[in-house]
Amino acid sequence: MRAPGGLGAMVLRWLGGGGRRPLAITAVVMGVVVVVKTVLCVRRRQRRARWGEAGKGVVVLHIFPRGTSCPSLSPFVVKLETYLRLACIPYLVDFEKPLGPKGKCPWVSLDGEEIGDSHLIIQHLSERFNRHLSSHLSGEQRATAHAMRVMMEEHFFWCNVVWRWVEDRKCTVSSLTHWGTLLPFHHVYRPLVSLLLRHQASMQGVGRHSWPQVYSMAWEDLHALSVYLGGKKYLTGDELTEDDCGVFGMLSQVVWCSPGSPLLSAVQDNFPNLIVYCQRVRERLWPDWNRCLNPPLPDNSLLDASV
Amino acid sequence: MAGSDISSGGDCVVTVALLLVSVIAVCGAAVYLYVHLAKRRRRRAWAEARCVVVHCPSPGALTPSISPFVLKLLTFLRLAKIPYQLDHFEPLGESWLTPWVTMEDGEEVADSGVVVLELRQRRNLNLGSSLSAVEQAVARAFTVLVEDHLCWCLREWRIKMDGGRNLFEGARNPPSWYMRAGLRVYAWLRTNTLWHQGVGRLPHLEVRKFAWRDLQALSDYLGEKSYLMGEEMNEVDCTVFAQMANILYNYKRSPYHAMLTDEFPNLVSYVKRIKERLWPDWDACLASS
Repeated sequence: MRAPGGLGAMVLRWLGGGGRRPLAITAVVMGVVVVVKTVLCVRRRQRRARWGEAGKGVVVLHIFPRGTSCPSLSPFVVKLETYLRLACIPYLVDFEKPLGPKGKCPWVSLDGEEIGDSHLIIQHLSERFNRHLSSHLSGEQRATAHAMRVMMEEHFFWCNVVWRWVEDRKCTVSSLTHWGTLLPFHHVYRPLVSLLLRHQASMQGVGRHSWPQVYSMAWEDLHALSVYLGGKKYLTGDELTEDDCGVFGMLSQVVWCSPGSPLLSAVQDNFPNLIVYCQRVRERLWPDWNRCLNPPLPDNSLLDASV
Repeated sequence: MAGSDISSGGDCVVTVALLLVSVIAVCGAAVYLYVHLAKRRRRRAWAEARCVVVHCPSPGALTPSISPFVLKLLTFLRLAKIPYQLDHFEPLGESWLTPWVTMEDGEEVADSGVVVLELRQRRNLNLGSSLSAVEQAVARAFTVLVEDHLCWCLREWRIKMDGGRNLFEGARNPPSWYMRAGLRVYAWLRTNTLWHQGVGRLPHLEVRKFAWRDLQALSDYLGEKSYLMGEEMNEVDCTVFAQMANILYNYKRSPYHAMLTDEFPNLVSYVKRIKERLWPDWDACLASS
């Protein structure tokens, strides 16, 4: 009786012989693809099972790894997490799969449902948990706060992207994160992300202008926000709303994630009320700010070397 | 003899090839020279016009321009009483943007926002000077809301839901066969743009809600006032008017037209008010078929 090893050797000899080599190669490649897909599928199911164990009504927030000076380098992650804290919605954080169903970050899982886009998530959660934080505002106040938030998220965001990923020759973003899985962030991920975001900024329109023009547009946005905020505690008065979360998310990138940038200098020199506003929101909703960094810092450590 | 026949045949081919390349090079150089000289002649004529020359696409069938950014700029020029003339020969400038203008001194400026800023500084315009600092800040926010958010929601419907067909509705002439063929390529390229901008990754119903929220903000802030910031018209009104007119006249098959007319009647009245004030010759400015 032939030994199993002998049978295998016979099969291998048959596959490798004559004109059957292409068949062998195809079989090997297909075999690898099937194995990889199966492993990924199993891991995906295990992850979903793990997220499901979070409990009913507990939001699982999927985000990029923490930053060194700010809980996230993404303004939309800071926005959403600030909202969850403001609305007192229980949540857990997951760093394993930061890109969601629409290829965007952040995204959430809630009772088996997956939702992407920070503003869609906020709308969904406000209905689900009955948290309407702007109900006390007049129509005009709501309209203006909405316009301010959109200005920062849809226009100033791209000005900041141009600075961070195109103009900043020192690549300070690399020093603000320890993210690097198999390959190092600075030498591999950063150049690829820079290429992608440069292209996206150009598609959006802001990226087609020269840096002095982009800086001028960003300055106008910050000026408008600063003037509108004035001496008020928050955007619309003494109470925080959803739009404050969006504005705080964007400003956090300038105040804590842009050391040496002209945008930070503009805020420090011309718009100090924006810095006071950010510190006020952080003290109110992020008492554990230092513990949310990577690496975590002691609670009483002085973080803001630049502010 | 065979060897000399082959070599003389080869020489003939090389000669013909060289002749062909020379003819093509000479023709190419002649065409380039003609285009270059024509361009210089046009620029000389524009500089001698002694007024602002606005370079934009031909008028639309339903609005003086199918581009809301052109309409915004023309409305601003009328509001500020700046004389201008139109040029449709070169709608795209050096930076491939439209509209772009040639100033009175011959300087070329692209992008409607940059043009407006430049004109304000050169002519020391006092539009909006009666507004407080907070009102000017709010005006800035609404300008950005309309141009950098609402505009993208409209494009999402036009490209993803309508396949770009809506572009031809406001155009001067019915599309020719090659324009219809090119539309698919255009729609594919713009779908890619929408994805990169972000709005293209969302379901259409969610984008519609975002646009509704923007229109509600505009309507709530306008209220019963004549113009957005009060009883005097300002630069922000040119921007908002252009986008609202775009929805009213060039997006008739879209859900946004019904949204505007059914749910925000004060915005429709606002458009009519500005049209009567600054565009009494609206019909004359449309493309004649």
